[in-house]
Amino acid sequence: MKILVLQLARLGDIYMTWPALRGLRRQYPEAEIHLLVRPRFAAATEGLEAVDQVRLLPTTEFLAPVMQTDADVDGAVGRVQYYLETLKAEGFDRIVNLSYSPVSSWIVKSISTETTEVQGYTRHADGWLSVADDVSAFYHAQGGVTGASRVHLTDLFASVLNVDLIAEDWQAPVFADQSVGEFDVILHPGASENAKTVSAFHWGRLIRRLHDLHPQARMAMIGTANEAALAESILQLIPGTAVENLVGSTKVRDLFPLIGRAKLVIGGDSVAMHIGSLTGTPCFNLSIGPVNPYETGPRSGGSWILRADSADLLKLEEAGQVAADLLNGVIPRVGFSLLGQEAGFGSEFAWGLVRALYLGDDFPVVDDLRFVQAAEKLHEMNATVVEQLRKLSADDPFLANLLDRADEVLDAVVAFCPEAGVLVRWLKTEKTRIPPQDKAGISARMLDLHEQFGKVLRLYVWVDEPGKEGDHGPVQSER
Amino acid sequence: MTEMETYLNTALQRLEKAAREILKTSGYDNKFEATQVLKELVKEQVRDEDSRTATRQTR
Repeated sequence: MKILVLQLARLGDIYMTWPALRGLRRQYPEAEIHLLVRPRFAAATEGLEAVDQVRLLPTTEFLAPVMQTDADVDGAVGRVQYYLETLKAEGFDRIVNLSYSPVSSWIVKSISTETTEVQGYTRHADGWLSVADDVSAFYHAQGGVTGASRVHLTDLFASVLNVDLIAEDWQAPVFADQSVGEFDVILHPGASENAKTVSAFHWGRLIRRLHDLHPQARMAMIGTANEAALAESILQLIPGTAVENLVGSTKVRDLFPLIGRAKLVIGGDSVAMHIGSLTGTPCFNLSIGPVNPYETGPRSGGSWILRADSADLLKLEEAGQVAADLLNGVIPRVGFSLLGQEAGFGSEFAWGLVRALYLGDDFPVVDDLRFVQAAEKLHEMNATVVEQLRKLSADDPFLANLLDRADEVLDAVVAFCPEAGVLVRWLKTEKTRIPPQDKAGISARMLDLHEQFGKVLRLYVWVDEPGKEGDHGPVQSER
Repeated sequence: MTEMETYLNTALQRLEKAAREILKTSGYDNKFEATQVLKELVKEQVRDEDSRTATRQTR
């Protein structure tokens, strides 16, 4: 069997894919496994023994002809077409797209055939986005920064690949040259976006506090050359704390021994956390801004997350104390762990809805009037759609117009009550999964989905229908 | 708008035009799909090749 896995996201996402790839190798020891990544992030595949071949998507080469004054569009398209045809000629039996991006969906469509087993995003025959499998449909609907998912991306990737993970799948590679020093605390102040980390001032305060509580702790700062200015700014704020500045002077592979020997790693949602998960090093994740720590937070034992919607909202004294507690092996008073039972952040109700929709749990009891009002509005709209789908011919232009209006109602209700988005995103994603076919077929599938949608909504509205007395849901039981 | 963004937006417009031409002349084919790949790559560049964001914006 020949398998291609696409992981076109950043360094951290590639490291989060490692355990799943090891699981895939264990399940298919004889398979030829290829991994497609971007050249810029290929360093994160060094030491990954689970794949036979790492392939690169030469984005710079593709883009060069169009990034000039006299753009050569035909030349650029020709390069992409040749690359895709070459990749398709490899004849992969199975293609697994773990990228969840538009570009990856087009690549998968272009290099797969009717007999290729595909998981992840691809495209329908008419070019519309196609979500091939249930797990990817779950991520499409509920994952990401604005989603209610609490499934870690490593678990998600393993589920898409349909493999069970074992403890040994989280392992660091061993490189020959490991003479990079040894420190108690590794600090990674940078991140892929400024909004995902805190300012030099914040870092300075945190390090100062940690130094006051642990004056003997040996600390080192890591990062890319682009983060050198940030590191300098921080160091100017903390004279006398003797933090070794390694920013810009380490390769990605050097981070494994550095982090592996440390007692604690402190950073935002960045590659250091994901390497920490592989080395088993406790991490303190300052989870700031547009990230979902349930999906991308550190998983190693002893790790901790302090969440704030923005750096301004982070309590610096608390952060310094948490870092000191973690160094002492004490469970901090604030924050949460992905492995523990502490209250995290986000809506428990929304997560309950997700679990009910996808895992078959009981639907959660609602205590928010706004959600009930949202459900009533959705139910009203949905009843009309179901009635018309049953009554009208699939060719009736009124039907298309009605469905467009229904979409507008869905969006308006989510704007009014974001938690209703869990249900709405489920419906919308399932609609994208309807393949191209004649109008009658599409209409029948739409009717089926709206009927399922109605069944869920009836749990949250008071439906006074004869013969429906037994249909008591969470709301009714509360009244 | 920066000079780079101007390049990118111009490139996007040219690619969209090329895709329309392909659909008109030869229909949905491999060349059209290659155009879509390139178009999405340019869009990512507009967002500073933020592939993390790109993993989350398809809906």
